[in-house]
Amino acid sequence: MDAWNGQDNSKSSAWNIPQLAGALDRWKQLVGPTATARRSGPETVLLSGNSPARRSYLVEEGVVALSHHLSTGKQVFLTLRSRGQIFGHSRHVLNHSFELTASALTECVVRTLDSQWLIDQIKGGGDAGVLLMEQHAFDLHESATALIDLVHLDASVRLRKFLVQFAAAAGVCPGEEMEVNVPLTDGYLASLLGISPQQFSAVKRKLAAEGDIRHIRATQTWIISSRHDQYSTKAA
Amino acid sequence: MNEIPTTTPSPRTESDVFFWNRESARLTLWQWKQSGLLSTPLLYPAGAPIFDRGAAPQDAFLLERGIVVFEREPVAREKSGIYALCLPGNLFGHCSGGRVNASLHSAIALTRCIVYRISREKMLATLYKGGEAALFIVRQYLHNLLCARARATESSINGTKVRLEHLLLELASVLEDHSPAGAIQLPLKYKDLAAILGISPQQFSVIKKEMEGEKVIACFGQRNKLALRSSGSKVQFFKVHRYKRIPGIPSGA
Repeated sequence: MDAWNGQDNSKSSAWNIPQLAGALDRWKQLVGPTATARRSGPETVLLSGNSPARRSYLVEEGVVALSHHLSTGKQVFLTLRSRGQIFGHSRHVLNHSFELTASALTECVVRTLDSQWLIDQIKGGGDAGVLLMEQHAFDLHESATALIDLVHLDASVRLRKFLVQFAAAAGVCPGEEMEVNVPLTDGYLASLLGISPQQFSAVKRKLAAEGDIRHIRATQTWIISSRHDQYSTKAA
Repeated sequence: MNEIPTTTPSPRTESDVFFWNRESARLTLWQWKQSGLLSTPLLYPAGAPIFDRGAAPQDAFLLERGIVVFEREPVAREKSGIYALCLPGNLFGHCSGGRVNASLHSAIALTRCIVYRISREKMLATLYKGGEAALFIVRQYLHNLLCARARATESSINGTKVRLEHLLLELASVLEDHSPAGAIQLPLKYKDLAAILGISPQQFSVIKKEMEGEKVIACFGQRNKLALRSSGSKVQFFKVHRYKRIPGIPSGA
């Protein structure tokens, strides 16, 4: 069973990111050539609390992290956005947002859309509303999965899952070993997993000792072995 | 007679707009009813499955009354399989247009529930047709998503004691059955509350003891009564047996 293609219903849909790839073509047909696309490097802030509310974004390449800024200054990771997914639209569509910051995690190509155009497209009928509903349904499924994982899986399994998910979103081909550049600090990864930096260090040491992952800090490279992986990355 | 709060939980964080409150739930239900997309109301007794784990996502459901629990297979006997609750006004079992795998959990009526089915075909037809109805559907999905994110984020913002307090206040707002003495009937075990909060039963026990020491909660009777003091009000729960799962899906009419 190739878990990457999400064919195994017993596994998380976290591995389904490639399934969304077709959405990009459908969005491109709707958007046409008018919207501007911008290439951004890792760590570029694409959207923040100061960004115009009428802007939405379509990811054409790369991986974007959405996070929520608290009044305390703390940042909480929400989700990843990848090829064919929209972000930033909730501010205009709902007049309220929970996704205040979007940062490129890899080289990205992101197309800027006018959120009012998006609303007009939904009201005009056709594919836009269906695409958004599908994305939100997928996200709801993902958030349920994340919640189940938080309760039922230990942090080491969740770290492996995140790395494999990130590699898939970044377009890394599945294999016995996957090498992916993850430009995130250990502290950020710890907050993402809901554990302390100290616990994160212990989890990383454990996985490294078992030969499941290697982290080359200097290049921010993570090498993930599929040897013991129940969410295996076997080649199709 | 014990004092039962009739108000919704007091504001907590900047993300409060995404937490449950009775008024916004009422408004949402009214809007859905105007949409013409809802089935006739379906009644589920406590313990009845609305859909089972592994079911292919087809239609969405809207909860009008009661509480639905999402339950996956428990990993150990001492742990609960329940990991989240669905409260009135919220969608669940989201129709996905075929992009989402089978459901990872079962949806079971924790209490007597009134649920509407929203057919996938009707929803897609409305989206293709456009208009305010299409925008309403997208807004509802987006709102449900942001609510889910707000809940997930809450564990990073608030400590477990605060989250337990919020959970109990939320349950007090939604649960409708009362004991003769006026206490709210709570059909959840402590291990269920622990699982919903994402902690182990052992951690829950420690936190409960600490909150008892701080006089925020009190357990009495034969440990089947639980009182919570919060924001000047006192809520009393009477723990009752959790549902016994009813096999098969009733017709619901």
